[in-house]
Amino acid sequence: MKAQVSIEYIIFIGIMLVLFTLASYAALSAGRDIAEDNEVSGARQIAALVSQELGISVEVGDGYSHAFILPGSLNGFNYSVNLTESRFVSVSWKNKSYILPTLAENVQGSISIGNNTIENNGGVITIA
Amino acid sequence: MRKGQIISSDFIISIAIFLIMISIIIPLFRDMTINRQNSEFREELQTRLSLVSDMLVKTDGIPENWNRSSVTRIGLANDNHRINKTKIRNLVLMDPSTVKDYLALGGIEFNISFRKGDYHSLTGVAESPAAYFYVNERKMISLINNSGLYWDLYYGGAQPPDQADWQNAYIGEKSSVFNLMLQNSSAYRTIIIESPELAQEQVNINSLKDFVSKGGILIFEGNADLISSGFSMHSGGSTNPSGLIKNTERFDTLYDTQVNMTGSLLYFYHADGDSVLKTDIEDKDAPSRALAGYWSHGIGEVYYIADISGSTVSGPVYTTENIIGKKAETSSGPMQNIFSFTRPIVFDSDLNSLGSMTMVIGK
Repeated sequence: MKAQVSIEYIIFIGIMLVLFTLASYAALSAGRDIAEDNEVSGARQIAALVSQELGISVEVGDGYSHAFILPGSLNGFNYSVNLTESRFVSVSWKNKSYILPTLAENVQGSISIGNNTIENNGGVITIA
Repeated sequence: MRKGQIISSDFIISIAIFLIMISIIIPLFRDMTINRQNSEFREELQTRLSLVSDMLVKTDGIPENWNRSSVTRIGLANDNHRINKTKIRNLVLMDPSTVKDYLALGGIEFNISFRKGDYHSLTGVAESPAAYFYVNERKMISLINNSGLYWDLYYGGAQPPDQADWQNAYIGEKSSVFNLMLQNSSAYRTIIIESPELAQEQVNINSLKDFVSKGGILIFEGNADLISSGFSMHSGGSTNPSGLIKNTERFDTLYDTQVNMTGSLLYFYHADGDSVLKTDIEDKDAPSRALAGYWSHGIGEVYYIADISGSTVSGPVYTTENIIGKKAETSSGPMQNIFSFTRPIVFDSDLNSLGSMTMVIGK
């Protein structure tokens, strides 16, 4: 009788462990997806902010000056913001990048994490 | 059930409750995940649609006068924020997957179309609605048919006309049909005339002048006695002339490529008091003469082509795309979960009417 109890106990513990493992895997996988989506969402917000700042500077025209701040990290990760050769805003973190277009075609300077000042001097957009 | 066995009713109930909870929680969790992903996707599409359509209608592109081989960034405007039809033509003729790359639309399908009023805009010179008149020579009909142009036929020949996708056909004696077309001219944006075999005295020429001077587009091919005077440009005669391509935007060929034409043809040249002559194909023997070119008359424009079947060593210079035009629309493929955005635009070739660009994106 004791042996029967032990075997059944082990079987049910095994079943529970399998269920628990599957549920944990699903939860971890979903958690990883959520984390990745949050990273992309954060990158989108940063790229959209820079794109809008550049766009406003183009539309307002000569004499425009405005300061804006980029967050210190992207969901806890280091990141950088650059303008590509075709003047798209590119946010890069880990080995990923997120790209959005912008209205600005004639841009000088580089975009920093933290404080940035954007100016339009005769159609040339300068970021410092 | 013997005493001490683990399969008790309590245990079975607890397992059942656990499984029920799992079967409720997992679908709920899955639905939440799908809803979150859909919400992210909608935000992604809306952000991208707004910025890409802004970029298209408000920027020049890089380089400023880009073409399909030099482009590094697509923008359709001129420096005056008007939409350039040559850039639209280049966009439409580009491979959609390449366009996708240039617009940073990886994984997203798109459709971009241009309209003016109730009609599709075209990549060439013509605009709908149009009237096409011919008598015997009908070299242009193959360029007009299936081009996307909304047009009526005015035919002054003796034989039954060629079948094509016209909306209405008016057939009869050539001067009567021609004058009927002029009577109806207020209904058209473009009048296309091919070798009409008519003199100015036979038609109500002032009505044709009025049509152009008030903003109409006149495309004239072949024997041009009808517009040889009174249309803001001087003309002269030439037989079997050779020309040189001077407008590489229209023809997508090398500057100074030789074009051979046949027949007893007219050329146009600028003289005192004339409008500014913009030359598409220059007479090889006299740089001031245009065998194909265009100029303003009032607020409209005259496009003259001495011989639409003129050809280079590599083939005909005129295609549907560069003279009549094909539908100004490009698409990367079928899509669902669609977002669309329509923007008002002004074409640089026509400041008198408002057009629109509609961009649709989805997955």
